[in-house]
Amino acid sequence: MIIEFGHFALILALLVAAFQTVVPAWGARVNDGRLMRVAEPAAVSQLFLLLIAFCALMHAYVTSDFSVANVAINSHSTKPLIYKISGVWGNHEGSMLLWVLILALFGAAVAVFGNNLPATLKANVLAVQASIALAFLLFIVLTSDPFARLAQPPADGNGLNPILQDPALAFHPPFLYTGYVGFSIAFSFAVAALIEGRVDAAWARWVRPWTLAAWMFLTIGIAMGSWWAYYELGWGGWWFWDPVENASFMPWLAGTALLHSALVMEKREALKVWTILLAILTFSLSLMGAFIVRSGVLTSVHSFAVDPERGVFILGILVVFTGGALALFALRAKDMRFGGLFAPISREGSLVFNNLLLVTSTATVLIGTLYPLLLEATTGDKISVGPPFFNMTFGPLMLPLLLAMPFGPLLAWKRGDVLAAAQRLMFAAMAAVVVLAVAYAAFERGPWIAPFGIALGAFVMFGAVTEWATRIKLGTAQFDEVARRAVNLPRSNYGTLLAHFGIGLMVVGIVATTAYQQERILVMKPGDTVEIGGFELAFKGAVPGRGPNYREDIAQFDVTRGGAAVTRLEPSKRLYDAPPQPTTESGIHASWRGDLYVVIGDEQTPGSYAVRAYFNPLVRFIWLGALIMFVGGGISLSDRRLRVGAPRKSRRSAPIAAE
Amino acid sequence: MLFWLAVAVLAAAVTFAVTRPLLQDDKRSDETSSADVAVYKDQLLEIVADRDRGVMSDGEADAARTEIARRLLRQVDRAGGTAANKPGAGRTRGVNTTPVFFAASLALPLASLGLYVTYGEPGRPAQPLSQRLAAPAAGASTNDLIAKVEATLQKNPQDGRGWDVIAPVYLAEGRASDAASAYATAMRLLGENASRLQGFADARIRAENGVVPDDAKVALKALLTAEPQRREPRIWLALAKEQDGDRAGAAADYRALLAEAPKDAPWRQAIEERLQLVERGPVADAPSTPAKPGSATVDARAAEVAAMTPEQRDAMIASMVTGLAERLKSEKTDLIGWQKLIRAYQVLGRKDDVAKALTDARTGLAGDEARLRELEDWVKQLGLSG
Amino acid sequence: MTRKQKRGWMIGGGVATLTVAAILVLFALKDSVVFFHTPSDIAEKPVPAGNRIRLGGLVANGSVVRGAGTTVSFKVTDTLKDIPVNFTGVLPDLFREGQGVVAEGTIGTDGTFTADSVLAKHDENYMPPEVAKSLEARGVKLGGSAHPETKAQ
Repeated sequence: MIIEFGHFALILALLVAAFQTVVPAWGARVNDGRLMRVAEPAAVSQLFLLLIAFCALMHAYVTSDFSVANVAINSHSTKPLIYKISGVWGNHEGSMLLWVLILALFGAAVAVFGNNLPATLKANVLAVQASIALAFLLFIVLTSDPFARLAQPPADGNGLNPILQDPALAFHPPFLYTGYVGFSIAFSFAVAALIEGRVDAAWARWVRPWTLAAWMFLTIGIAMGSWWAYYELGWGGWWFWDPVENASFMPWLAGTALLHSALVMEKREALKVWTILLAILTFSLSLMGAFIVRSGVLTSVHSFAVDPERGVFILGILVVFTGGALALFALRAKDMRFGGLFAPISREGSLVFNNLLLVTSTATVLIGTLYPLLLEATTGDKISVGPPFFNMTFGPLMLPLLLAMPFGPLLAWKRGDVLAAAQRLMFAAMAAVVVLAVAYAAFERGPWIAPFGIALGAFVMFGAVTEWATRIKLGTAQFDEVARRAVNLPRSNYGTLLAHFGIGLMVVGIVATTAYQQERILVMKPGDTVEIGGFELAFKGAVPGRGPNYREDIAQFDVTRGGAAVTRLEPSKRLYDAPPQPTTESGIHASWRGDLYVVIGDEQTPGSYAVRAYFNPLVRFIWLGALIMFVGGGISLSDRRLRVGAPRKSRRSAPIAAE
Repeated sequence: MLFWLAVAVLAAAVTFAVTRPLLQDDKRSDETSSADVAVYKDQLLEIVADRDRGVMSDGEADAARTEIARRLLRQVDRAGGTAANKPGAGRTRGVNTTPVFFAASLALPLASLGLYVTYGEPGRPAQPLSQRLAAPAAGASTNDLIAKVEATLQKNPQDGRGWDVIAPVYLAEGRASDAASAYATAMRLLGENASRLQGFADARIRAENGVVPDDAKVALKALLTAEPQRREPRIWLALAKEQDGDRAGAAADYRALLAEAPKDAPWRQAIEERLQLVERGPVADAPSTPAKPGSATVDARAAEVAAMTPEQRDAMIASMVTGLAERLKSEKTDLIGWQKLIRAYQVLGRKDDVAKALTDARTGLAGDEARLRELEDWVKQLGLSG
Repeated sequence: MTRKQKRGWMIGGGVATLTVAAILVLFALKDSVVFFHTPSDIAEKPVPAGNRIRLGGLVANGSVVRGAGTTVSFKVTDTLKDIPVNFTGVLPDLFREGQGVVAEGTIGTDGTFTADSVLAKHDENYMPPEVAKSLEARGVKLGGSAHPETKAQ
């Protein structure tokens, strides 16, 4: 009964979404408050109904109800509970349900927290949001029903792809989807603003927190995915420029640009047309990501089961929403007033520069991702565009962006003084030079350019700190003055500091890992040792083991450093029971210096294995950087200027009085 | 009943919740612009705060304030303008929401029910595995029973009797390799006996599509030692010899079998035929294979096949198919052979093999236009694409 | 600075960045695009030795031979033609005879392909779409196993 009830709730949600699409939009058009107010209970009901549906599906997974086709195909009774739960979104149908659930969650959040929004804007935003939900709900009900039943429930399920049975991956999709789908709010706001034909600074202020929240979750979602790929796929890499990775990375790049341009729009009411366009494009890229992942048009390691019919449906959604929004944009953009003026060298100028580079790099990633498709459609040649393409195009575009990053926050609005900013950055530059020297000393081999890359990352990090130090007058004022300023500095400033710092850290990690990774591939028999990254790795042999739903061969390596025991690594090769599929589990010893990473391949002659060992210097900085960015986003979001219910009614002057 | 009640309550509650505002007063104040004004006021206050904290210089703060003040004024102007243009803009402008209310109140529950009845299976209970396992055996489906035994075995994998029970069920369900491993486990736990050995051998042979693998041979030999009067293991072992290329050995075995076979044994003729094939060798076999229906051979074979258990029959067919496929590797131009093979694969539902055989056949017949065309026509008749 | 000048600056900057990006993209596409071929493609239209390509097909049954160290040789086939491949390294988990693979590397003058990477998708039923398409185009019908979902029923 629970399942059928969930199914009914899903269908009712579809109709509520249809209702919410039509009635409030009509109300906004004829300016009828009652019609518009319908949007709020509808958005909340939609969330409630989808929550019922989602819980019903989860219930089916947890109780191994194999009369539900989706469960029978993707679950297995012996699977650990956590993977039964994550199995809900580990497949196409369930993940689409999660997708609309998050869509409804954002819609309901706007309905509940958006009390400060003008009524027509709110009604239009919720109507557009509901139209997106409607499209996806139709998609689910018509082509991807998660509640389809089997007449004869099988004895047991087919099992979840073992490679997905992993804690990081179990919770990676919810974060990633929150990011993807979060941009739908920016899209809905943009379309609503175009419908009303009114875009101003207040609009940017309402949009920013939603964009920031989406960006935060996308950041951490991508980082989790990369971390998973790193330790689970057993290739020692953390980013492969795989189409699916690119599909999540493009909205991130565009979203980052949107975050910065919305700032300009709020403060100076400039870049209005551009910001609206970015909001539309960012969500369109999210939709395109969904299309790429689910249609199978591009080869990827992460693709869901491929189904052309579904691909066409999502392509339809993509075309309707992107095309519709862009058409509306073309119709209305020329009516928008120009905003504030600014000199090229100014805070605004630096943010324009940031946008220019971010959008251009998004375009290069887009070209690299879609070019194989395009070429195959036109000439029939099948090609692959690999990492070298992205390294050659994306890398050079990031260089000026990173170099300019510390300058931006130090420039004044309207007209900045680049020399003064440079003077303030002297310390950061000097520190970066020191890092450069240290990098040359620490890594004796490797490309000559790599230490410059590390120094650039360090410059970004020190630059972020410099901005903070300048704001709180560190070194120029008395200690208690500095402390007072540090405490009173708006949280959004701390957010910027952390996000920029995180980027710098990430750059250092990326450059160090890419340039100085050591790799050894060899056959080892018990007793053999190999030296890598300053560690000695002794192979002790392999023993069989048994997990809850797999059996494995565990290879044992004793790791020593200068004769002193460090740790024992136990990479393994697993064979899962259902489906019977082998996976490679890596053995990783993490340290600040870098990761020692060992995986085993096939048994060559009895007892001896192919072994791949890597030393990845500073690789942890990559995910640590992403985590810091996530935290920075969170801190910014907690700043009441960005908080959703912005106008503060009481205690308005309290903090100022305290000074 | 409970289900329909729950559905009705949910539909009613949601419909009520979303349509309620339609019946209320339009008490909306004209705050379209007041929201903007609030934002600008807030921005002004922030600038003051920023200046006080030293985040902004006085000059910057003044400039920013002027700008925001300008926006504020514009907003107030606009609000005044709309108010002047549209007197009572906040009030309803003649939209009668009552029909909307009734339409929505009817459409939401009815349409959702209609859609649900189309796509869902109303009232069908959930069937969690634990419940299926607890249900009484009578009336349960085979799958439920398998699930039950599997669940017991999951908990207690040392339960040999469980394996013994499930093995033949697997075999009947066509899960040959599961059956083989179940038989193997049962033998490990309970020891070998004739039925387990026989079952294991059958399962292995089926899993290998009719080829007799080594472990099946071992089992068959053990079975023969235990019960020397049995004949099927000897037939299989002879077939195994044939498959291993030991034609002479196979022929000797077939002869021995025939020698002691009762005159009216249904399988007698099958063995005789097998023996003939072995003695003639693979090449000579080629043209004679497409036997006409009604001929003695076919009838005899039919009788023989009828006497076999379904598993044996399947295994026999599979082994014949495998033999044919092997032969066609060397005789690539045998159109009739190819047709037979493709037909057989099709009947067996081995689609991959159909396609592969078709490709192989085309490659094999590449030099012979006439036959190739004949093949293509035949393929079309069969409705095979490609 | 007037609005016109400001716009000039912005447009100029934008055009400059896009030009640089376009040049980068063109160069990168020229240098780093790798064409995909099947053994039959190569038989029909030989690829010059030393060109970097991706070779896709199935691992021919019985062709995998382990050499010294981690060197492995096998044949990639599209059931019509096959090409011998040498690879030194660790093969992916799902590398199996009869399964789809994509090898990247160069073909030598002797017709042997030297791969520096071998991919097999992380799905037991997976066949790389390029491989599946090429095989289907050549009349090799793939049964249900090429589409993971069909096996469920």
